[in-house]
Amino acid sequence: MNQAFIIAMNGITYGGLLFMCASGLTLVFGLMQVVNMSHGIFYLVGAYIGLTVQQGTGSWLLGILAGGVVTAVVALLLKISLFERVLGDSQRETLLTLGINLIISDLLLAAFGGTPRNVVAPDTIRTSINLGISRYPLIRIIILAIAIAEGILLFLLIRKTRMGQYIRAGVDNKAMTSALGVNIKLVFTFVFILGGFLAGTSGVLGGTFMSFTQGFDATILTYSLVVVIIGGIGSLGGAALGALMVGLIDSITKALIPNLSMISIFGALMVVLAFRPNGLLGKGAKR
Amino acid sequence: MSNPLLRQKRPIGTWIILIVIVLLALAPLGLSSFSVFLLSRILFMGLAAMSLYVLMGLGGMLSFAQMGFFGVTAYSIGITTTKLGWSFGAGIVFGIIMVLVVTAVFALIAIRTSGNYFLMITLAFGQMLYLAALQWVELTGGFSGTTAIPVWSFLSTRTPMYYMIFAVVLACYLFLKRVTVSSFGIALQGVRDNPAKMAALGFNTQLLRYVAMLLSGLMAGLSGMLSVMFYTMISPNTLVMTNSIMIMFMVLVGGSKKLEGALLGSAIYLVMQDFVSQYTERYQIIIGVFFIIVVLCLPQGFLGLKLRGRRTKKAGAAP
Repeated sequence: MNQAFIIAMNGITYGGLLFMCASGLTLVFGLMQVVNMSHGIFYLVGAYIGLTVQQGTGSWLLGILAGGVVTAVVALLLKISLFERVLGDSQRETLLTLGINLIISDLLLAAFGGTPRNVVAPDTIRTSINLGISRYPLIRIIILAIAIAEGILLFLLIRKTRMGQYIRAGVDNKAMTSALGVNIKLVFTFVFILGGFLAGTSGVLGGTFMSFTQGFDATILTYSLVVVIIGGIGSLGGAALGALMVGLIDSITKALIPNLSMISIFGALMVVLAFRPNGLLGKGAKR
Repeated sequence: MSNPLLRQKRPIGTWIILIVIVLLALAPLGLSSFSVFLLSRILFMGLAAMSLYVLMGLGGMLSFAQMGFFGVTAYSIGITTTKLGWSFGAGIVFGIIMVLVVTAVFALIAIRTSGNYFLMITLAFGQMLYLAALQWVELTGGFSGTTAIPVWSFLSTRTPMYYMIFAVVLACYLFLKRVTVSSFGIALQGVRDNPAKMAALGFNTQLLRYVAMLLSGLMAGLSGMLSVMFYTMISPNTLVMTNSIMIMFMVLVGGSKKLEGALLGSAIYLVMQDFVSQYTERYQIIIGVFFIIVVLCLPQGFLGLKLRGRRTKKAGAAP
């Protein structure tokens, strides 16, 4: 019972992290039809920046903030310098993100080396608390709490603000939204920066309980993509659901059949696509 | 019976290709060991790039699974020969069958998706194969991979191996060339350009794309086989996502609209890599910058440049 509880909690907390990372991806994808292949790299950028700041200042929270902000700035710079030139051609935009992936991943390798690193949480958090059935690491609970808080904030943003309205409209029908007078480019930029911020913060948070290194960006990108596909492109609720699913499957299979863990996730993806080709909560949006 | 007015002169492109083939055939006689090795790598990586061309250039489907298929054959050969003691020939047959089976199953799911979804699912699949290669240590040797694969002994020297690779790649190239001008190839390009119209015209677009995937999987697998012959080993590092990006780079920089572009791109990439890595370890950044430049300024790749020049002479000729 103990074991099952821990496995379940691991899955849920990992799902929380995946949600934070994938939420940015699904919004960018849903709105701009660009698969941001650099999303995994943004995660790593956030993680390394967070690590550096945390080592320099000793503050974990500052590390999280720095990781998010720096990544957001990087996203902004990329958007205004490169993406403007291929706006509208989503295939070329996707290819562009590949080139960016190559450059930034090598820069990170040059700056930080190839050994796995960890962001260190403050000592007060590095303990386990009693959850009734079993003890469980506090740090993971906190990350889950942050993920839930972020989910609520995102929900409020999307549902209750003007910008959120524009985003939803843009996901449904870009051309019409633009024709109605909304500066769709600005909305794109905002969403892209937001995606970068989310990826960056999830990088620092994830880096606290999972070690990261060169090449991990591909893994986190893959997980995020799977979450986005399962949940449905452009859907935050879908991302939450997908993240929970992937987190649990990952956790359960890693405990029972570790060699087949990734295959199981892929299998789940296939099953979902077989019944709901647009994802669990995706609309049949035009590409 | 042939009317001199209707007889077409071979376009200059064909002559260039013929000359290149002849030069490649003669290469081991004149070039240094190093160059022959480089050419060997250009050729079999070019085959991997050609496999992507089938999907990307002809079918308009960006795929990140190619290196995965490459790995399926390579590992199949490696595992059956080192762990089960099979002969190399048997390993090759098994490797080819495996990649076809894997592709056949994967393609059933993948063709249900298109565009960005397709890209994502091939990425997930490629990554899954990479992680399987890395983590299933008992089977694959984990991080160090499967080594000391007992390749046919006549392949242990430079020249026979080059000719083996050259022969296979040439055969595949000729075959794919034939495919691009066949009714299948043209229909596939139709699906790339306007799937709705093709469906309305009565073509089975799903079947076309499915066959394209099988073909590309086979080519990628053959490329994996050649790499096993060349390196006598396979490691998970070959299957990382970065390499799939490199193959995409090859197809793009050479020219995604032409089959030869894949080979040209392979040459450009490997030469650049060799050249730049003499000066710095950071060659990946240079490739990345180049990649971006190509996407922004040279969307048709280098071969596209030549095409544009000729287009002004033959007005109305299709690209």
